[in-house]
Order: sequence, then C-alpha cells, then structure tokens
Amino acid sequence: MSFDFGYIIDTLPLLLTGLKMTLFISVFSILFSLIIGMGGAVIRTLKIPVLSQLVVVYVDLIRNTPLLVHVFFLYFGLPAFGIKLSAVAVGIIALSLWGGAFAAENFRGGTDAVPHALIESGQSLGLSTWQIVSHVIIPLGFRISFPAFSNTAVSVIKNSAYMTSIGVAELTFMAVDRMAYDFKTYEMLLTIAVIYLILIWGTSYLFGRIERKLDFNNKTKKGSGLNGSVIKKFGLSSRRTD
Amino acid sequence: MEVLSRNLDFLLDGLINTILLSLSCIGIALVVGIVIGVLQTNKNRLIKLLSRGYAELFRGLPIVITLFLVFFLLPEFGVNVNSYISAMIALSLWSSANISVAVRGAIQSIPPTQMEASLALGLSSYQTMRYVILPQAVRRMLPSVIGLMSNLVQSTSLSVLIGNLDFLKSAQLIIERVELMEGLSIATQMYMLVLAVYFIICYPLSILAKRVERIYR
Repeated sequence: MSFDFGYIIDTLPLLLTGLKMTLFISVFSILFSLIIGMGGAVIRTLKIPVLSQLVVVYVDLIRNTPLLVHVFFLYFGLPAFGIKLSAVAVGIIALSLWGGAFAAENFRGGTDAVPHALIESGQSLGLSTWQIVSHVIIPLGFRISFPAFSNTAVSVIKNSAYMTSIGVAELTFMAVDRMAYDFKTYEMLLTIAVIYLILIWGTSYLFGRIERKLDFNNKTKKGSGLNGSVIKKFGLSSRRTD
Repeated sequence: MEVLSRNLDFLLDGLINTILLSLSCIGIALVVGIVIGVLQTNKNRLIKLLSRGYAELFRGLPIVITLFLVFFLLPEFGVNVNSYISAMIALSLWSSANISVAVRGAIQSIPPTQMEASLALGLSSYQTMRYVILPQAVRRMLPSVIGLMSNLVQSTSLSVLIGNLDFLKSAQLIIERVELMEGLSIATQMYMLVLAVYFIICYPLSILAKRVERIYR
C-alpha cells in the first residue's frame, strides 16, 4: 500500500468536474431552500389558515424521513405517475425540499422574534400586508435567523453527496467511479475527503463572517445597520433560534 | 398488499437491522461523545486541539464520505469489517462528534462558580466533573441528543450505499424481485411505506426533543 501522488494529480481535473456538479446542485438547492424556508416561515408567523397547517405537515414529513428515501422516491417512484425527472433535477428538488423544511424552522425562529409592535406600527402607517412582510418581517427575520440557516445551508452541501446513489456525476460519484476502474481507493477517498473538508470548512467560515456582519448585538460594530437601535429597544436577541 | 404480506418477514428483518444499528451507534456515540466533549473543555492545549479537531473533522465530512472511508480503507490496514460494522463505526464517529459539541456547550453553560466551589471543597477535578458538572450538563444536552437520535435513525439508511441489509435495502430488494419475477413496478407504494415507517420512528423522537427542551429551558 503506497500513496500514489501522481495518480491524484492525473485524476484531479476529473474530480474538479465532479466538484463543479456538487457546487451547481448545492448553490441552486440552497437558493431554493432559502425561498421555500422564508415563504414557509412567513406563512406560519402570519398564521394564514390552511396554508400554515400545510407548512407544518410538510416540515414534519421532511424532517422525520431520510433524505435518501426522498431521493429514491422521486427518482424511482415518480415515473409511475408519468413524471420522469433527470438525476440532476431529482437531486436539486430533493435537496431543496429537504433544505426548505429545515430552513422554514430556522427562519420561523427569526420571523416569530420580530416584535409585534413593529408589525403594528407598520399597519398604522398604512402599509399593506405584503409591504409589512417584505419590508419588516423578512429583512428583520432573516438577519435574526441567519446563523441557524447557515447551518442548514452547509448541511445541504454535505448532503449533495447523497446524489451519488442515483448516479449524479458529482464529486463523490466521480471518485467512486474511478475506484471501480483503477482500484486506487486510498488515494481517491482521501483526496475527496480533503476537498470536501476545504469546501465545508470554507463555507462555514464564510457564513460566519456574514453572520458577524448581520449580527445586531455585535459589540465591535455598535448599532450595526439601520435597525440596530430599534431591535435593541425591543430587547431582541439575535441568537433566538429553534 | 399481497406482495407485502408475502415479504413481511424479510422487511421486518431489515427493520430490526436498522433499529439495532441505530441503538448500537447511539450507545457508542454517547460514551465517546461525552468523553470527547469533556476533553474539549480541558485546559491542556494539545488535548483541547485534538478533541476539537475530532469533532470538526467528523462534523465537516459528509456522512457518505466517512462511511466510504471506513468501509474501503479499514481493510487496507488489515482490519476486515463487513458493511454492518463499517456503518456502525462511521455513524458512531459522526454522532459522537455531534454529541461532543452538545456536551461541550452544556458544560460551558454551567456557571464557573460551580467548578470553583467544588474544587475549593477538595474534590478532585475528576470528581468535580463526575458529580457536579456532568449531572447538571446532562439536562441541558438532552434535547439535542434526542434530536440527534432521530437524525441518526434517518442516517442509518445511508448504509445501503455500502450494501448493508437494512430496512431501506430490504424494501429495494423486494421491489427488484417483484419487478423481475412478475414484471410489476411497486416502487412507488414501497417507498411510501418506507417513508411512513421512518416517520413513525422519528416523529415521536422529535416531539420528545421539543418537549424536553421546553421543560429544561
């Protein structure tokens, strides 16, 4: 058992195309989970009848069943209904639905924490419900719950490796595929492990930087942003998450 | 329905495999996780670095990769493991890393005066940890540990990727068998059943986690 560095260098371009696919799936899934999560959180905070119950059912269903089974269901189960999706599409849909359910919980911590007085003052200023949502609830709720959401986003990147199971040509799949030909298990697995660690730790670091920028109670940046003083007045903690 | 009753034993075997795997992982992970979590609060910098590195490493790696690393690399070091044991090791690594972080957080949330008072009374640092700090920390880490258990049960499904015959795998085998023998596709119904069973196991756990969190807060 010797470590073949030359082999790693030779296969690196191949692995990088896999990494590109991983990034492609992750970025779109994170984006969609952000939208789904924010929508779900606003619906639950405003307690819209029927819709908010549906969101609860959706969140509970997704959070309590394995992502791998969602993937298999979408890929192998849906064709019976005449819906045939490509593996990449299944990957993005499954990850978005999964991330969206977790993000909805994350964001609800934030949207629920928006002080009611702010919503009422919006109403008394004559803002429509939609204006209150888009100008008060979403911006404030997002900042408060960003730390929780960033965890979900990182998990989405990690879980993109699940798509190996349906043959999406992402990073893990590329490596496992090479292993079947050249039997360089040792080299391949350690290389992708390192790539994943750089990717995950790098993203976490980046999100951490954004978190500090968005943090209302940041000591180093007094009264950060326009709303800093308002939030402080209402005794809001930025760390209130589910 | 008829297919289901014919294959019920086979499915149940898979379910038992999943449950055993989850239970053994949570057992190992609790022990390892608490030890590593306590080490993370150690004053020795090397110990702190190593134990935090362990947590960061196995929380950072996707579970799939940890699983493959254990399954494919241990045999190269002469340790022969089957897919069940590999899954057990990999999932224990992952969940113990998560538990250790919860433990560290819980320990650090205990006011330092507790530690000082107990040391002043002449208890050794081991006794302080064992009789004063940990009993208080357990209540605070309970919600996240229960939440992790639900997560763990779901993650055991990943062991199908290395060929472990768990619940999901047995369902898949039945789907394939029926398709080959009778030309029928029961994938949709079967996967719905699988989703339902996982939900029945995991949902009570998440409810419990929420309850416990409300009680201890």
